[in-house]
Amino acid sequence: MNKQIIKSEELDEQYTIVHHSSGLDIMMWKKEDFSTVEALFGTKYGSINNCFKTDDTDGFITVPDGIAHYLEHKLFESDDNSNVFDLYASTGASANAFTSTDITAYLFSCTDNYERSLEILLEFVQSPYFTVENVQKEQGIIAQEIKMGDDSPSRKCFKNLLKALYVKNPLRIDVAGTVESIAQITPELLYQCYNAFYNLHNMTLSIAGNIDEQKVLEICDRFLKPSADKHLQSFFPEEPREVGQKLVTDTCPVGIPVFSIGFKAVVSEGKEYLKRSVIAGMLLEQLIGQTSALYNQLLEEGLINSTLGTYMYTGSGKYFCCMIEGEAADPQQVYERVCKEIERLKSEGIDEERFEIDKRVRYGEKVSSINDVKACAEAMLYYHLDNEELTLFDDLEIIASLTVDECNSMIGEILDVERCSLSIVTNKQ
Amino acid sequence: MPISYERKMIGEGIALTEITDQKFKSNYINISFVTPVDAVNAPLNSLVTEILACANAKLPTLIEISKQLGYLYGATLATRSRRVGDIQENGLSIEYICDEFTINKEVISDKAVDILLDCLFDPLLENGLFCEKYVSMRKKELEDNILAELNDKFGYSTRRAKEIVYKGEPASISMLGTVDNARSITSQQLIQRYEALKRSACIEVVMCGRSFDSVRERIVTRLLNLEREKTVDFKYKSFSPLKDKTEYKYESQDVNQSKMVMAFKSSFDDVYIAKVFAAVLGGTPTSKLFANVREKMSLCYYCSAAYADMKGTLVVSSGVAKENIGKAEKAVLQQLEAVKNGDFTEEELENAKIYLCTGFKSNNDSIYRMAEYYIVQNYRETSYSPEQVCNIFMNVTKQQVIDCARSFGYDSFYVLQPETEVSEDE
Repeated sequence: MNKQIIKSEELDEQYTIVHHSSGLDIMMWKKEDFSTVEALFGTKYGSINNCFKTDDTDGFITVPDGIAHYLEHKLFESDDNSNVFDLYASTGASANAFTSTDITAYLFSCTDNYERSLEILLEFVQSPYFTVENVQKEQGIIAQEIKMGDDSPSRKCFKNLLKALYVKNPLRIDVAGTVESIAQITPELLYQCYNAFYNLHNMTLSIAGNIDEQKVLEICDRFLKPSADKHLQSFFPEEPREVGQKLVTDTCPVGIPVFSIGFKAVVSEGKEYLKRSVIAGMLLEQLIGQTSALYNQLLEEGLINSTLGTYMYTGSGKYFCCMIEGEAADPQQVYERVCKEIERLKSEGIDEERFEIDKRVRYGEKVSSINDVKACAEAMLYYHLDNEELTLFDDLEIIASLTVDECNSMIGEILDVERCSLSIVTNKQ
Repeated sequence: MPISYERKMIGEGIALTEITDQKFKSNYINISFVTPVDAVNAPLNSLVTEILACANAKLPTLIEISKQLGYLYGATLATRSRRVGDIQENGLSIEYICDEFTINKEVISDKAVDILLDCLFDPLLENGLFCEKYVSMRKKELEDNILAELNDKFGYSTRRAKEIVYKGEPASISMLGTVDNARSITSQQLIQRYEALKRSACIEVVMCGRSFDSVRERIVTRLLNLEREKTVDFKYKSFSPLKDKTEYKYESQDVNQSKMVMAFKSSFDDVYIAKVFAAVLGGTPTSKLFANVREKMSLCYYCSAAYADMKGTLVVSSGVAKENIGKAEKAVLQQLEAVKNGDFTEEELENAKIYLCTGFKSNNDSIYRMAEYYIVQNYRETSYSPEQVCNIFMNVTKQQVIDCARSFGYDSFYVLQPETEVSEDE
């Protein structure tokens, strides 16, 4: 067992990473004086992992869309017909799970008896039980979940944007799949996926709160079922640099159209990935953040409203996009103004005063983000599953040393108007 | 250091609540005007606070405010408009990191608090009116918000259901009003409303975070400088009367999934027993509704119950396929009947209570949740700590839950459903 302490002097915080002999990486953040304990047991497995191989498979196999999410639902059932929620009920923990494009995680939040809740978490995630009957039963519920998503204009807009930006990347696939694709899921397929991706070598446990690290490790020693590394490999088709479609439109009952603009950039890994993520965030702020001239002009002209937001959508070594989304009566005009402003930034460079202000914003955001046990547990998991080389405090150093020139040199590549798509959802006429 | 909580009246209708805990690294301050809901003033109140957040006499543009907030390590100035039963709160809040955690311990707390106070009490005025540029901008945004209500199907169905459930009561009034009304609002109306809020609305100041020693006096002085009149009297609690006959309302749209809302009302007047009842029925993943209507019968993706204590109303919300609406309604009523008949075990009751306790105790860990928690305590005219509330929960008995359940009557049913025809099985 190998142990590392990750520390930030500025923030007066630290957490521990233990590489457990079972193959699992365990992240622990002791937050004294907090009432809550938050734990996530996650695997590097999401909707994009639809083609993979291990030592146990005969080459690469392709599985139905939405199976990672389906598996997440089914793992809550056990062979004695009991439900995991019934077990948690006795500890008072609030339990849940989620599946994203590249992560599946099972979590609980509690204020008492975290040890028992942790035992339940480790036990059920390592005990799959899939039968024809229980797999079929879930189809109705997941079909309802898919339909609920289809009624959200912003979600529809985002899904269409990913399909427009990416030509081959499985990011195009909806996390929940389709009503048709989930109908193909069988217990055998679920076991195949489970055995490949729920191997402890592919997983991480993250726990934060007023915990005793030694106790956490003792529970892990008792409950983790060591497994041999099966050399899991996911296949991702080579993605062209160009976007598939520049414009995609759809309809839905909306009072005001919603839009998303995405910029497709080159993927990277390790510290370079983190640095590019920081730069991209700062460039989005320069382009259309609340301190930008463009944001304020568009607001004053009534072309946007304050629902407009920006964010990064990234996966280390897999995808890297800058996103702008909001509501607007005329999204096309907003898009054109955004592209024009990018050209201006490319020729004139970013505003130095605002660059320095933004560095302070990012430092402040980091301080605020670790005020919360849940945020700490989630951040440890996301950072580690996204890229094991990175720690939660690495970006502070990057922010401090970043220069205006470095940001200016990246504008054309990160906010490439030739490699961007606009997705619009309007009301049905 | 343990959490400290103090609430006091510092002036005519001005209350200051201070909650501190040394474990936090940031501070949150919210100042709200509290008034009874009425259809004319509801959109005006929210528009006034939106305009106040745009600029003030010292920072006369939105961009200057945004830059100054950024300079203060990304302090967040936010508007807060919400309704609690028949009452509305409109105000501004600021969150900023504590001076101890800035680079080189730079002092920023006084500057952050000044932005909040200047926006609220020293607005940017032109000829005695709010700056026209920001009035137009926020009026347009109000119009957008009214139109965009349709974009969020869950929010839309909840608002439409409230129109049926609380028909004739202030709680049924839209906080945004109509597009025509938004367009007709004048600058004169807005400044008059602002002056009225400052003069006679109750003012609630809630501060939650690490420490407010360096800014408390600044805030109190500014509030005591306001010219105040006797404040408008109101009560948070106003139970909604049960209808003689259950009212049904069906609405169709081009949607895929139906949103079903069922409301039940009672004059049962113990919020904590009612909360345990709601948890047993549909507030946890092992509740009657989740375990039976969702898990066993697979009738819906979600099905949950929540108790609105200011209105004495229990609301069951569900996402169902159109062909299952009738079955789902029947199943919810069966589960309610089961609780009324005591068809739940001591273990189920215990689990619901423990689940509620976890939620209440976790309020201790967030400055927002802690602030909200004590704001709600004030609505209830109590000042229990989360731990005290947990003790109350743990002493609730099965018979009390049964008695509470039996007091509820079926008031209204609303569903937003797909336009497509299905073979109804109702």
